[in-house]
Amino acid sequence: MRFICNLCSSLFPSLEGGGSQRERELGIDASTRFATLGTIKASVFWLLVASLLGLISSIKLHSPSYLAEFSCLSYGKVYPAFWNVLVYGWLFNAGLACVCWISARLAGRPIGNSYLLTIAGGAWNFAVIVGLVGILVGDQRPFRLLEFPSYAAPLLFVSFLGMGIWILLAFKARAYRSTFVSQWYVLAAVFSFVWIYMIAQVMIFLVPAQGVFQSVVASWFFGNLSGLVIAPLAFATLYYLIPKTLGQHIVGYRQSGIAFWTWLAASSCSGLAALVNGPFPAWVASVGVIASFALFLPVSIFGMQFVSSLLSSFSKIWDSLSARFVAYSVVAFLVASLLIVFGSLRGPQETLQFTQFENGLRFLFLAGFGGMAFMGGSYFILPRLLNKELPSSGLIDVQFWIQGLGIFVIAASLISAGSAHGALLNGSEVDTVQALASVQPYFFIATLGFVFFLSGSLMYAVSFFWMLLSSRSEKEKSAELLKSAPELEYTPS
Amino acid sequence: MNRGPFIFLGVFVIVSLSWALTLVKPISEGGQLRPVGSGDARVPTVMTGGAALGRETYQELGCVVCHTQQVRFAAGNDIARGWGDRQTLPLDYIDQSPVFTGAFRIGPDLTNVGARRDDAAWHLLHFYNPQIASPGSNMPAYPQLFEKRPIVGEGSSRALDLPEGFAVQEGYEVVPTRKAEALAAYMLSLKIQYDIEEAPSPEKLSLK
Amino acid sequence: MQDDQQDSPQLPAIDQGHANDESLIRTHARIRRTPVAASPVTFFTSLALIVVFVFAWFYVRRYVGDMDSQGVLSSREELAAMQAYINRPKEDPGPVVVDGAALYAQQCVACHQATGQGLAGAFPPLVGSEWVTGDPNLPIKVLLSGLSGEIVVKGNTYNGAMPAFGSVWNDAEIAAVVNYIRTSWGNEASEVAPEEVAAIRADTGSRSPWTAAELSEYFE
Repeated sequence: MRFICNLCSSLFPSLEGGGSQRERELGIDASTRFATLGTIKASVFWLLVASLLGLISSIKLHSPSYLAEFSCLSYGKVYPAFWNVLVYGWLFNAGLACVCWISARLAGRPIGNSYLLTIAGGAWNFAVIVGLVGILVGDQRPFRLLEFPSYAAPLLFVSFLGMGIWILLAFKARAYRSTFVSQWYVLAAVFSFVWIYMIAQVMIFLVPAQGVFQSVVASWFFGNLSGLVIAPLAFATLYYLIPKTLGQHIVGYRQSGIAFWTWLAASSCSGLAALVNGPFPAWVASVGVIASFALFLPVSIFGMQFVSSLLSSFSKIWDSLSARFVAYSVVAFLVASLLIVFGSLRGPQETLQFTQFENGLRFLFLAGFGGMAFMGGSYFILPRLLNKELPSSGLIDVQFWIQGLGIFVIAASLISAGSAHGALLNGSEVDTVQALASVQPYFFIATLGFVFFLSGSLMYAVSFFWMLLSSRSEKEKSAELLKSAPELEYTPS
Repeated sequence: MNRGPFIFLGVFVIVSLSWALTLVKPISEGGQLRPVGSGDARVPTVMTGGAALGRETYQELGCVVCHTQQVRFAAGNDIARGWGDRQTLPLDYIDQSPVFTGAFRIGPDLTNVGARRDDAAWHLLHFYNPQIASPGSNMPAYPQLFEKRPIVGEGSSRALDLPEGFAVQEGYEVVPTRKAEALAAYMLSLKIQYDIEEAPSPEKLSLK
Repeated sequence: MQDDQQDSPQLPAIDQGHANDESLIRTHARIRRTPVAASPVTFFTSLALIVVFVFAWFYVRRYVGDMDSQGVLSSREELAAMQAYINRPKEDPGPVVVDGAALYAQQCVACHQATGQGLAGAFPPLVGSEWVTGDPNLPIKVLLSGLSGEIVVKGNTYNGAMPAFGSVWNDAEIAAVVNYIRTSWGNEASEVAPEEVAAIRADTGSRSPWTAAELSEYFE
């Protein structure tokens, strides 16, 4: 009964009494506090697990005897475990925490049903644990980011539906008629994930497509997962954080619609470019190449919007801890996207296909663009949820540089390793053992990068739990810790 | 853009179009292949029971993370490396579910590994410790696929013939488990010994 | 990083926010509504649009072709070369090899047995039989038209009916069966060619089964 009442009240919200801007914000934050905090906690946990698994798999790439006595940690299991935890554990939790909070804030009124978000979030994380254990005990399936065993996938899907419904209710309950671009991306991510995950599960596992077409579906899914789900979550966060932290409207905001639709359209096929020259219908791979190249259009719009906005308030970037994460995320996005655009053409693929280039690029895109955006978001959100100051801005400053350096080193070394390895693998007849041995130094550097990345993650976890567990100071007990934010300035030119 | 249903509809149309164009269309046109011929002449060759069991171990250990099973003709030099003598086609894979085409080559392609290495003992030694069979390899060892036990009587006929430097202590032998035997059988079964008229190969396309 | 630390030794422990949510939505909604003259952003957007379309146009023409879902080749030269290979003049498939043993196993073993020994008193043997290993015309004629009535094989008399296979088997198949029985189980007679069968078939035409007497000329 209570559920129905809550459902009705969120579908047909009554306008609550006036109050000041700040009081309204306090009410909104209170309504999402429990669920959002829980999701952020989970994301911090999974970030640590992912960093550790990433480090192990990176070490195993050049020293196969490392941890060889644990059969559940062989490279064939740690590697998929790392990527799945990175995406479903860290990025989904962190991204959904950010966009749920942003959705509530942009809705402009407290959103009920936070228990729905809490239960669904809990179920999601339970599914990730089940999936991770499933991979480590050997129930994995052989498609990228679909490795979770059959018994974890339905729970993952249903729990996402729960979170998705909450986000839809938050959108439906909004107090403002106009929408902001962040909300479009949030909706797009929710709809896309439901749709693509269902298609992938049905066409690969329930009613399997014939032979190689399973790989076609898997490539399609893999491209869409990063392009239609993780990237929109990160866009939503970036579009929201830039005006919030810099007081700067999005330059060229009028182009957002074109960027939105072209990004979705191009991303929805871009994963197929990985199929070139394989035993797949050639035209399907060609469609993938065209779609990847078409990303150039939205990427150039995003680039102009984000870079111009950041440059307009360049001096303010270093005054805010969140803004520097946003800046890193924007740069990582532009570099990664341009590499996707040009790396998927047939010419470069003749060298780069099947090498670590793809891993470095994906890591830059997912961790550098998505992950850093969500971290910036969480540093912006946490003080508001907890009414506390960030415990040590010095620590977070160091964390930013270490984590950023780690991501850069990993991506750069794997991308260089891929180019060098690919030249030997695809362009010569050098023995595979020798070809791999000659790029070994790059793998050592990647391990160094993972050490940085893990250190950064540890610092992130320390500052998060420090903030969570410390007792409130006198200043923090008052409601005056956060002031009412000013109006966004805009003078039409 | 201020309405949820509009965005929902837009996303739905985009994803569905992509799905219909790049998945449904090729699968309905090219994904309904039937095997050609029957018995020993069947294309593709029927996999034996032991090899099918080894397929599950292959999936369980995540071999697909480092090994592809696809031979390319138009790019790379798979054929010059002896990984196959022609491009593989969808018809070669119709019996395989899930399919192991793979996306990374940290190790060599395995489409025809059974033709290159036709000795089960070689594969067993290689699983036990890759350094025995291919020194310098980055492949992990899989000792969990083997059983180390004291020699009773004559000892097992299946025990590994370990070379100097890798031998276990006196009085013990290393015997492959059923999983290891099955995986080796799967490796031996990985060979394409029939030709498909439409499959490109250097001999057929003299321009290459 | 060092410079930043010097510029702002005290990073704020909290980001107070520089825009409230309501003004953020309102302002951006206003930007979307306000028509503006062409800006560098619109210029570059159009440029990117043109670049993408030109690329897509050429790429579709070059690589997508007629969307053949069976084909794994994309470059035009390779497709043409493959097509040329498929359409190559096929060499003569050569003589079809007919397996005489298989035909014998299908039609003959019931009476003459797999060993060629026949059944004593009922069906004559083929092993060492003068009817088989003698003049090659003999087995060909018997196979083409059949044989009925009493015959003497290896000193024993049999009375039965050998069916005609002239309408069942073609020349090559008759020749294959004849060659099989003439060279198996220790028989070491010469082989016959399908052309010989064809000649005999044309010569005898269609007729009722032979009798032993009609073929006695071959035992002279």
